[in-house]
Amino acid sequence: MASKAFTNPFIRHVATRGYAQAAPAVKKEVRVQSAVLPNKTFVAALDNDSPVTRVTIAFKAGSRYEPQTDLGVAHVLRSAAGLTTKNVSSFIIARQLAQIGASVTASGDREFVYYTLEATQDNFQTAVELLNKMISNQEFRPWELSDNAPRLKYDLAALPPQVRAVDLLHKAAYRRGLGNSLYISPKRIGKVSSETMQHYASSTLTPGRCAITIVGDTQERAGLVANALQLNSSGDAGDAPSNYFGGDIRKEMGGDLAHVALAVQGAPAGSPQALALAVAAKALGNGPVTKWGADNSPLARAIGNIGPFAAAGFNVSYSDTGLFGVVLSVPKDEAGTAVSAVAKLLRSGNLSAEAINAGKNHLKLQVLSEGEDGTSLAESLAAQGLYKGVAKSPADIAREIDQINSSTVCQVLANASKSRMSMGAAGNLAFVPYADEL
Amino acid sequence: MALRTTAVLCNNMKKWAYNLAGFNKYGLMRDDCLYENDDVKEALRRLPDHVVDERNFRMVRAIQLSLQKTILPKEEWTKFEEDKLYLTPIVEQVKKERKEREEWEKNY
Repeated sequence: MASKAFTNPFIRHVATRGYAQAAPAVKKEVRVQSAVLPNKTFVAALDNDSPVTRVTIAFKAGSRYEPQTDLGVAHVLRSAAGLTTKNVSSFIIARQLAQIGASVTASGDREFVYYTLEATQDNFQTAVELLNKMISNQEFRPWELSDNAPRLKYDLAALPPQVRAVDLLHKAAYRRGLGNSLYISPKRIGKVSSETMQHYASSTLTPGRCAITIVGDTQERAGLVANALQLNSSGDAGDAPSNYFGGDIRKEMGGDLAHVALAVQGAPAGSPQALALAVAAKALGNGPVTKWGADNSPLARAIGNIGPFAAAGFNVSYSDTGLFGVVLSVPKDEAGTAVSAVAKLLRSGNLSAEAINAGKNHLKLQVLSEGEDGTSLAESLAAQGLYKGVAKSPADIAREIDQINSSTVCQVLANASKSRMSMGAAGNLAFVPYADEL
Repeated sequence: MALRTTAVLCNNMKKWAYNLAGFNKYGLMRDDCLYENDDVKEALRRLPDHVVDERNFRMVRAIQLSLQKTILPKEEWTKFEEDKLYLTPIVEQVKKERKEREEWEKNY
């Protein structure tokens, strides 16, 4: 009967509170081990004794490496994961993974394509062999590619307008390279041939452009996975740097809301400026922290009382450059005032010390809680490895965030705000100003 | 020597049987005469469009000739040497995939 008392949530709450007073940032340190293999593949492992093992095999094959004549191949590449390859049929891939309860996802950003496998320890060997067969020697059979077209259409139809706005923002900011859309244009669905795909895959899925990370197993295992991969090591796509231009691109879609992404040039990944801008982005505000609560962030105060709206600061960093700005969704009639206010805030380039402190805490929470989720941890380690050749654990990053002082953030922010403004807008744009009017 | 003679003989036999079958007189190819079961239908789906168009043309022409109770002039008959198996390898592949599927269904 005594144990029954603990089922009462209030009592349990008090008990746990008592035990965990002033929890330290990290209780037990887990180190990331990393190495670069002779074939230039980056491998890293974080052995946290998790019963579930995650492996990410990432390649520099994101949309920025697409040739201008074949835009959208990166989207087709990630949606073609699991089709028949030279080694195994799509039927066996799907059924065998289902049989052992493993899951494989292919996701991608502008720089990379990530193949991530999740499996329990006891089935890990079988699952990783299948993952290997899935990625090596992809064939892109023409009829399977055309059967895959509805999936691409679904991807496009399910895009939230905010994502479209950010996509357009990249197009406006970089034009080519990083400006390539993450998604295939609807007119090109079904027009990407098997030969195009094979050429793209053979030039981007190479050992030199690959990173393999394991969360929940050792670095030796990661090395074994890397050696088992049968990749084409000959061709290699060129890495053209992307220049920042600025400007605006708008997509009139109707509706009641305007979705606007505003940004200035940020900093490349791994640089101290990028971390400072990440703090600044969180400091700008991320919406209310309690449900239906008041939003007292600098962003919300700048926009003022215009009725319901959503606004959040964001910072993205790529290998050679980055973007720092704000995404907001506002009712169409208030769009003019809100966008101008946000642009003014971005231009002013200063934030109060309290806001920056709050931003640091927000960012630390985000980094550490994403570190708890093995899948996103494995993907982020792989991305770090491909960007810089080193992978830091979330705890290390949290420590670095602690060390940033608010004057550095202000200085980096002031520098960034001098660059030309870029804007991507989607939705009802009747009252949305153009970037050069801001 | 004996082996080569056998090979030549075998080839001649094949050619004789091919001409005896007579579908070449309508301008058809061997793979045009496959019975269209599910495997063949799937294989046809995987062919490039222009190959399917050529196949359909040959079949329409053969039906036309059959209705008119004629055959093509001799120089237009399909020759044994020119009759490439354009569909059979794909049908074999489809069958293999089906076997793999059935095998899996049996075991799990």
